[in-house]
Amino acid sequence: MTKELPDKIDKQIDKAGLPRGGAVPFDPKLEINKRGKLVIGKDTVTNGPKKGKKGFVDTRGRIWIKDRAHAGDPDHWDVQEDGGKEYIRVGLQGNLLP
Amino acid sequence: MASTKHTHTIRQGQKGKFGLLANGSSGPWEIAIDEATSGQDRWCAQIEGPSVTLYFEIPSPDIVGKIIQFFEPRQGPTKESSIGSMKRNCSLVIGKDKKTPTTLVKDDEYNDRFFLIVGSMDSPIVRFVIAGRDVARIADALRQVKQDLDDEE
Repeated sequence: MTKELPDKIDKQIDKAGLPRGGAVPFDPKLEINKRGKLVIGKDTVTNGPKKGKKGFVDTRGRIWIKDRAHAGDPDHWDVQEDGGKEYIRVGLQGNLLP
Repeated sequence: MASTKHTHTIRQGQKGKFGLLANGSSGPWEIAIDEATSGQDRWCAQIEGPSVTLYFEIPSPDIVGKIIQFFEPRQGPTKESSIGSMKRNCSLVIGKDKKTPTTLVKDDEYNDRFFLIVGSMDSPIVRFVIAGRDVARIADALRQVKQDLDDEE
């Protein structure tokens, strides 16, 4: 079930190209900023080749890092689990890449 | 022991919670401004291009409007030179870190070409060229960021 998000966050998810549907939709972890407004959490990958990159955090604590098309694969998201110790690849429509 | 009176810029990658304040995208370019959600006021800019990623602390989100203005056609010279201001209208320091500055430089040959310099101007670590369609796309993404920031106010 899709939760209701503030309009601004909806637009930010769209602008970032994060998937809303598919098998693995992006479900943002929301933080409260200093003005009391909800914002999408961001965090830094701490392991693996993407170490140091900043991405969008989901409710499961995974960090979504955009990866460009390469080696025959289209643009997709490398969804970093456990700080980057493992990751899954999710297409722009929210489905796992083979 | 003597203590320094200088305020040290907190470098990227240090701990602290951040959230997305504003973002924009155009073509292969994506720009985000992150804000610290706790502790002292800090903002970082993330610029993602087809083959480059930059992430650096900025003095404040106000720099976004200045960069948009910087990408526009030349209006006339200014004399300020501090962070976030324009020096003879040909360079704009956009990063907060004074030890490793991040600076935009306007080309004096082509109107649609800029250089993004990381490090000192005399001996840069990175000299990245932004030209033609990329300038328009980055400016477009920045305008979306600015809109987000304006909506926040």
